[in-house]
Amino acid sequence: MKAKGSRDLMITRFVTAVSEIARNAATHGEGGRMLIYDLPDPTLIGVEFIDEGRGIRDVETALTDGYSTRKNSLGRGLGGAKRLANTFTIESKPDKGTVVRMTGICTKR
Amino acid sequence: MNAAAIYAVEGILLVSITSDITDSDIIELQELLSNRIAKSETRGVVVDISALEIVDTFVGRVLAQLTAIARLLDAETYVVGMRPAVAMTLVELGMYLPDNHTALTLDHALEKMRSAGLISGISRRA
Amino acid sequence: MTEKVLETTLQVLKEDAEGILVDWIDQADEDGAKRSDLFSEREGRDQAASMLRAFRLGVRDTSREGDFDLRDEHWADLRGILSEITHERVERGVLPGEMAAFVLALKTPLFSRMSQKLEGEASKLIEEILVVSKAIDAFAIYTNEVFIAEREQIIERQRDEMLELSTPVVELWDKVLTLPLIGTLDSLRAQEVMESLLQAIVERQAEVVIVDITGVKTVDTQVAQHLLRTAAAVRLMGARCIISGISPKIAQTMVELGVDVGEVRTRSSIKNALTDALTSVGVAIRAIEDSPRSGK
Repeated sequence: MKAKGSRDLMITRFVTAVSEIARNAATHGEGGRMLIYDLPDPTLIGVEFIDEGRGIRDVETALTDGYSTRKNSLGRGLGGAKRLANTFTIESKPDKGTVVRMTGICTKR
Repeated sequence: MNAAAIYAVEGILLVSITSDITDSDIIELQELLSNRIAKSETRGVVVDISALEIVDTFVGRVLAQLTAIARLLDAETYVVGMRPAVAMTLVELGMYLPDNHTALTLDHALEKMRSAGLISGISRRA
Repeated sequence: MTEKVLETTLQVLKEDAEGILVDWIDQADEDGAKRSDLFSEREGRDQAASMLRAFRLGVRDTSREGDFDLRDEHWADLRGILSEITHERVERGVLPGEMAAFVLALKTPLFSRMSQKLEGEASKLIEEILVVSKAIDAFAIYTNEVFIAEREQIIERQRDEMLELSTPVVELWDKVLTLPLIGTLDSLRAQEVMESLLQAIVERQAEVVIVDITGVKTVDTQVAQHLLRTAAAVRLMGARCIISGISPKIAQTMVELGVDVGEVRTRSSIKNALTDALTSVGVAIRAIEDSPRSGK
């Protein structure tokens, strides 16, 4: 993103979102793959996370701030990542795994 | 652990975190710092995060926990050097770190701690 | 398509470049594309001549290869000249339609000469006119695109300037900053405001910032949220945020909306906020004792 001339703020926002999702995949999804894409639109960057873990039963609820399956977590990760990324899609099937796709903006503004 | 160092400065503990800190480093730091606070009987802890480009909910939570632990050991925690982009991102995440004190730099934090009476001895301003 | 597809066109251009140029400019005048008030006849003629020259070179190279594509290397010269001339004319206020009409006017002198050359060879004439016509149309469209690109650049620049103007962070005193907000506060602007404020805190090592909302038209839940988030971010940076200029009306709306300002300090006037801010950095404002105006 830096190479594409992105602003610090955009980088921080997007990398934080990526970090949240990666952490989720590691703790709930038993690890997974992360793919980074150069998109046709040069002002965007795409990231895809694929895990084959437990999946999320109710995506809507999981995206709500304050919801968490664990006790010492704040439950802000998923919803926060959605707000920080430019676009955010999540597909999840219980016991099959989860796919999260996000894009970040690489422009000056 | 090289990713974070604890120094004793002017009667307080300064925790300096570098940019390549890992999750396990942070957990180790929590353990180490608790012991140091208890041993040194310090009233103040300053956590310098100016090297951190990213603070996600995990790191934010650890900061809050450090603060809570320190408070139980009778020490107040100041977070210093947060970057603008990090502050904006944390707010977006809904993490306002309400229990942490904050200051621009170590100097500012020391000043605030002096006026709060956390640092014993003669104040520089007086 | 044959490799000699533009043969006649090239021949015509070579034989009577001067005549075409004169006819072209006349035709453009007739079509109302010429704006003598905006550029001199001489200038227009020179520009047309250089376009025609580049056009001929492009036709020559294209006729060798056979296919027409505006993006091809042989049209690079003409593209360059077109965008240069278009750029220059935009600055003088020529309309995009006029520029396109000027380019399109080239068809008339060109086609009339070609039909003389190819008398009796109707199918060949049509074939060749089709290709040339396509090329000239493409150039007319190209000038339009250049126009649009220029406009977009201007808009982008003005937008940047406006955003900068609308978020003026002022240093009132050492370590004290103020940000007078005016107008409406949408999400994009709120973000912009927060960013420049936080940046200024770092640069000036500010300890207190006053966000004055006297000039903010309406405060709804969203605006209030933006303000509170700004205050929260300021606190995370290690500075204190005072929100001033809260009118009685805004205070009422905020309570009605159930907005909880929490620990954020609020002041009704910027005067009170300033006194408060200065006190916290250890400075006070007081009247000069000997001053005749101090009312002794």
